[in-house]
Amino acid sequence: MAAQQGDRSALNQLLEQHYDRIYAVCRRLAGNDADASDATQEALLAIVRGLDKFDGRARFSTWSYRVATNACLDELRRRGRRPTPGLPEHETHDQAPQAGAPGVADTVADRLDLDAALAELPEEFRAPVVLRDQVGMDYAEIAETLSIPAGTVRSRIARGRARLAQTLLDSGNQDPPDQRRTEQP
Amino acid sequence: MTSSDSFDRDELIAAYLDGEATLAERAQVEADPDLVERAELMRSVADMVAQPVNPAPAALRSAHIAAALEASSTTPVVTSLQAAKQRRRVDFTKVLGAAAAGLLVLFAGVAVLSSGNDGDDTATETSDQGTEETESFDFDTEEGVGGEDELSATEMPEAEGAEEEASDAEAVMEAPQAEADMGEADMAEDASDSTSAESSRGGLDGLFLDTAVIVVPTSDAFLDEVGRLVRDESGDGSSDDSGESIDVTEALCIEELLQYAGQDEIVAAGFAIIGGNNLEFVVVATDQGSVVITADAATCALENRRILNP
Repeated sequence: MAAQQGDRSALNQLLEQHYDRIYAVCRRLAGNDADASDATQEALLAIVRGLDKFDGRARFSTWSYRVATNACLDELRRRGRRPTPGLPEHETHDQAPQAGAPGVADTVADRLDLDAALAELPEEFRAPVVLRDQVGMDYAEIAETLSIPAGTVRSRIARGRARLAQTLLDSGNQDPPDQRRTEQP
Repeated sequence: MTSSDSFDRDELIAAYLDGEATLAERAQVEADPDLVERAELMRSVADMVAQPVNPAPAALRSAHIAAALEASSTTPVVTSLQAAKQRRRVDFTKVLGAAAAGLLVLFAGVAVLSSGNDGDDTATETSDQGTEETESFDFDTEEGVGGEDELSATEMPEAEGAEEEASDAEAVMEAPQAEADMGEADMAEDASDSTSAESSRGGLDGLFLDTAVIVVPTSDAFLDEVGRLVRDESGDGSSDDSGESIDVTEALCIEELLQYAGQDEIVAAGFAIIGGNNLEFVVVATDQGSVVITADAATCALENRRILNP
């Protein structure tokens, strides 16, 4: 891979290509823009510093998300705290609401609720849920990324989603499509 | 429904939603209205987490990528120890000037105080102490850091150790980022240990060695650069030309590296940061050619041994 051979242009292209998804992972894990920014920076640094360890057996995207996820988690652990839900994500002003789509207020409220709900989720549940639902990794990839068995991934995703559902229902802003019910444990 | 049943149910649903369920499990979910209802709730949660994250502002994105590119140091950078030492000498002179000025102020202040207290000999003691420290600084400046008559860390006055760290910090500011990662101050603290190692290396005296700081992103680039360094230096026998003896006192893993090298002649050594890992290395001349031996700088464990490209 050219980037591994010191091709700065290739490395730049690689980082540009994967930046948004790496940022998205860190944003979901961190819960606010400020921590997400720092975590993303650490993630990118971890990727470039560890580039020579990429052996091509996995897809680069999988490898980079693994490195990024762990770098983000390490950064958040260094801060010694759970993610703190902050202001809504960076709003892009060129995104006009579409007809029938939730209004901006609803969207912001949803994001605040989601950030808060994710923040209440212990890291061991939050990371697998984010990797599955935000990144779209399968259980095997999540298992490799987090160094846990695949069975544990399934269990943690299940429990993580259940806790999220409970938190969102308690906050009164989760409105599932066809029903609204209190979780029966 | 028990808690265990609930977990089992949610695990089944998670596998169902994520396409990880078996055919039998899928059939089980789809045949049970309660499970279907629960699956819909979980799907809505998953959809919420899956909502696209608004992209980072362009300026932030650019800054992040620029910093990462900068850190990648795609071009190997070699900083010879001699050059680094030269910088330190210059910096150290500046520090000495500041220290001397500080001592003068302190002396003047104490002198004023003591003028009102004839029985107090504090000023004399302070003056003597200041003189001793200044002499130590001058001695080290003349001899140069890392010279054969270099003071060991344990012999250095405490203040000097602090100044040395400050000087190192300035050198690091000029050197590549990765050099800072090596923690030169830490190396200085361990100088007494490595000095004892130096005394035991015996046969290494007189051989060429230009310790260098090498920052490279890949192993191949590292080997290429070490190979270039060895070729360049071995061509003119710069050991004798520079008059610089092997300085292994800054290598924390020198004992291990000497052990790994065995009886082979060491022709170069240095520090390298590869993929974020701090390494120390020696290059030895063998019958098969030059071999680079790397050790993890943290544990001193043998990391790799490879023949350099000719």
